[in-house]
Amino acid sequence: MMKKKKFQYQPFILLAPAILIVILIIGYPVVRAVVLSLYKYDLTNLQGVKFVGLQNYIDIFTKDPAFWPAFKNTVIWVSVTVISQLLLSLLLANILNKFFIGRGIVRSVVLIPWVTPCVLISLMWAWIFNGNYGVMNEILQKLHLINENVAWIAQSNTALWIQILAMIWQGIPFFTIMILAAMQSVPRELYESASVDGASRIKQYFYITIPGIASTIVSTVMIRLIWVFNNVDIIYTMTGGGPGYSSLTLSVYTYLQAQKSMKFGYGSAVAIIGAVFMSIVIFIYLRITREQGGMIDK
Amino acid sequence: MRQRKSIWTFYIPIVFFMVTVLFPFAWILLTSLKEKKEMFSAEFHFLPLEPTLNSYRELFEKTDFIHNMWNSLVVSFVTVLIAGIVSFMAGYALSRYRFKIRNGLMYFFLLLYLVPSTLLLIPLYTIFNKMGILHTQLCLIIAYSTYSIPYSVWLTTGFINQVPYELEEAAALDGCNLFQRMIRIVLPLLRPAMVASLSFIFITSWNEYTYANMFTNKDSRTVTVALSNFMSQYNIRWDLITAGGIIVVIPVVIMFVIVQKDLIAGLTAGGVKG
Amino acid sequence: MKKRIKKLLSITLSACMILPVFSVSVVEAKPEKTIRVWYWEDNDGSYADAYDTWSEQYPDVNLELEAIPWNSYHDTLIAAAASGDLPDVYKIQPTWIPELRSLNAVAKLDEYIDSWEDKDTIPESMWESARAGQEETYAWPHSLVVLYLYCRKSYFEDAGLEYPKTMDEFYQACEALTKDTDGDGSTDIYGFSMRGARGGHFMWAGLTLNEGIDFFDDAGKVSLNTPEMVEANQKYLDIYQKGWAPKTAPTDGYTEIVQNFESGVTGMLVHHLNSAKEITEVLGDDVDVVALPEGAAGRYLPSEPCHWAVSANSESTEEAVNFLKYASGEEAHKELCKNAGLVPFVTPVTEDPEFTGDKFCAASMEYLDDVQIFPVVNTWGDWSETVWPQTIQRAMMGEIDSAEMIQILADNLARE
Repeated sequence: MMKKKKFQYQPFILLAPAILIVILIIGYPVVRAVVLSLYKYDLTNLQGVKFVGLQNYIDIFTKDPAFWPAFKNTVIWVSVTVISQLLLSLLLANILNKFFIGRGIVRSVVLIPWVTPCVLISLMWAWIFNGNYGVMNEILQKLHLINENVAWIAQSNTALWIQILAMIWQGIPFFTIMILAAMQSVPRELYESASVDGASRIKQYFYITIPGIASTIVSTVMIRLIWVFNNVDIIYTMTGGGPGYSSLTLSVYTYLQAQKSMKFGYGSAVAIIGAVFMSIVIFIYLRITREQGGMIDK
Repeated sequence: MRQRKSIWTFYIPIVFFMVTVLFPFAWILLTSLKEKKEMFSAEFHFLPLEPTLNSYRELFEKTDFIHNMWNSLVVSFVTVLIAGIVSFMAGYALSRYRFKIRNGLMYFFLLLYLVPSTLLLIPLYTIFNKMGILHTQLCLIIAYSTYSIPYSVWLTTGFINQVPYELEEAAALDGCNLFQRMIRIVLPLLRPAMVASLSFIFITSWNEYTYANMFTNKDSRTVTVALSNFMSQYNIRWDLITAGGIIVVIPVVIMFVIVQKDLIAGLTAGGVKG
Repeated sequence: MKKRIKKLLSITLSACMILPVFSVSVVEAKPEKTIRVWYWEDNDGSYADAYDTWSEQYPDVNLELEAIPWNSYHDTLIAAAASGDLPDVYKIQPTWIPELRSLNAVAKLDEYIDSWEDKDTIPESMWESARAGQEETYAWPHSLVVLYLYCRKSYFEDAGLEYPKTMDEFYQACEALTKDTDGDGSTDIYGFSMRGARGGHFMWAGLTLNEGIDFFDDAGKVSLNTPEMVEANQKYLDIYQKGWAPKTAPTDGYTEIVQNFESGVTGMLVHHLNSAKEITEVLGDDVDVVALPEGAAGRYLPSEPCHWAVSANSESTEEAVNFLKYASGEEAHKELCKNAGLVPFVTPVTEDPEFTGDKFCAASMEYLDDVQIFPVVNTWGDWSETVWPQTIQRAMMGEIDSAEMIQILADNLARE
């Protein structure tokens, strides 16, 4: 930690480019979105634009049949996806950290899901889980786990989960690489001295590795939370939010309202609600992880 | 560390992961090698009956795909450069200094991103149009840099936090100024992390679809849009999409094979302790 | 040191890469006039080929055709309209006209139309469609496709059935074609490729509104919510609920229904000329086409017309209109219809044996009098893109019943 107490100009100079770029490009649109959410602003009826205050918000909470299902789905979508990705990636990073022949190749192959364009991901998974001739149905039938073809994407109780699977698949490489990079900076001497002291491998893992990479895990999880929350492409291409509202999330709903139905005011309100909700989640998350993360000071 | 690799925690998971990752991809590869009419025929064949390179041929000869890949590459590289430099500086500032609005700034960088990008489409379109750079690679570069900076600032701050300050103190005693400390001490130690962070920026830009869709025209179109363009209103060109998918992924993976050695850098450079 | 040099090198390299970009973005002043045309492709490359004789007829006007991907066409159009970047001519669906008018994005074309000597080569119904129920005409007819019924010849033969002519026969066929061919207790072939995802309202309308119902009555009020409609709708929902359509139907979109038909999973499909090429590539001769079955009030044949619009801010309106006249000319129209698989409507071309001799095209043109276009109202965009798919999916899954579904649809259509 720094000891100087007098005013330092250095950080501000270092930070200036980042802040400037972000404010100039994103600042205006975001402010505009907040302002628009207080208006009835439909692109199909620009003559009828009027200030409605909080009416959009009230309508969303009380009258909109799609909002609460979308909200519930978003909570499931974000939490299940990120937690699963984290656990699976920890496992994978651990394996890839060990030395074995062909490790370089495996590490690069593992990268594939992340590098695949979203369009292809939706197509791939839609094909695998296709209700009529998908491979998953065939395999499950051969294993006698199901009796007849299941229409995975067309059923309201399974549609969301298929998307979660696709998202997990796509996100694992990112986590794995980050964790792997962080694992490299844990000093080897710590492990060696722990071995000498007789600590088992599992103990070493929990007392040396995890704390050593904690900071990275905290920031990576947080980035992923935002990323998964914001994702529209995969859901929209695979199911369009259907059937009904069963795989609709807040970000997809915003897109449908703002771009497809062209109700900008209403769509902005949905977006703001989603943003506020996520900020609360993240705020709580960062306070809880203060100890490990070291990102936000006490 | 030579340990006996146990079946349960090593081999089975590896096989599981490899299969999960490669299986969908194998389908894409096999489909790209099939004749057009085989693609969705009545009986389901996993392997192509008559493998052919027609899809690839058509992709290279009749479409602009190579040009699109070039666009994607240019945009991604420049974004990496800009975002990398900017976020390194910002990350250093946030990690090494404590000042009143520090926490606020860290939240600020995040919360701006909770507004979904779909709402920003039309305002950004207007801004870029007024600047006269719409339909060029430059507007994508700007949009992507703006998009990646907050994330990479967070990541870099986290990584720099893990570099002990004592090393910089020692260098300061030897007469290094701030700039030199950043470049000569911190940056080399950060190599695995920076590689990870920069690859993250690169791939985010490479894969981005929503903005590229709206802000490019034929000349500046990137690869993600080109791929999705193979799905028209009534038709999906499976042959072109799958062939394109393979072409898109392979170079990036190869590039990563080369670069991933840096992730093993570990403790060789500089030395963290002792 | 090496790092410094590397960094310097990469900076220089990227600077070199950016510089040409700057030069490109500077707009060069062209001596001649240029008109920009935006469209989405029906089949790759067909537009460029069809309009390649433009430069012969108008050598001093540059034609810049730009194909925008269909997926983002509407979004891009709206963004361009909102920021004043519209091209001179652009392809539209008539249902977009209200929102384009509201954005001041379209120019009035009445005077150009009325003064055109070849006006009568285009049938009145197409002009009406371009007018889209507005007081003035803001669009120019471009293309048309009409929905019909594809039937799997061999399946019908095996079941000993004739192609359905009435709705009753249609439902019978749905049931009879649904079979369990390998005796394992689960259905392998379904009667009908039902489409529950967005875009499915076309076939839905063709198979329910033929009982004599319409979206709006003559006074302009929503007339969808009638007992006849609820009954017809229930029969339609029954196709899925009785198992005559694949279980995936609720989220099946265009691709899926065609794939299901091509791979033999279903025996009947409702679509139009644009898919004929692909279907015959896979099924060859084993497919026939008939007009949609008759209901109590005759046939309801949904159509998808597409039109050209001229930007209100265009600086080259004269040239733009010339392009429209050129595109509706015999030669260009014939080329386009042939390449892109569209139904011709310009008079000399409609008699052309190339079209009348093709069974798919002939089926499209057979009942042109019964061709319908969907109402052009402010609420249509939202209704067709979001409300319809969500509602029918809920009805198919049993969350709501037929009466409720029709009520929701009617309410949303009427909402201002």
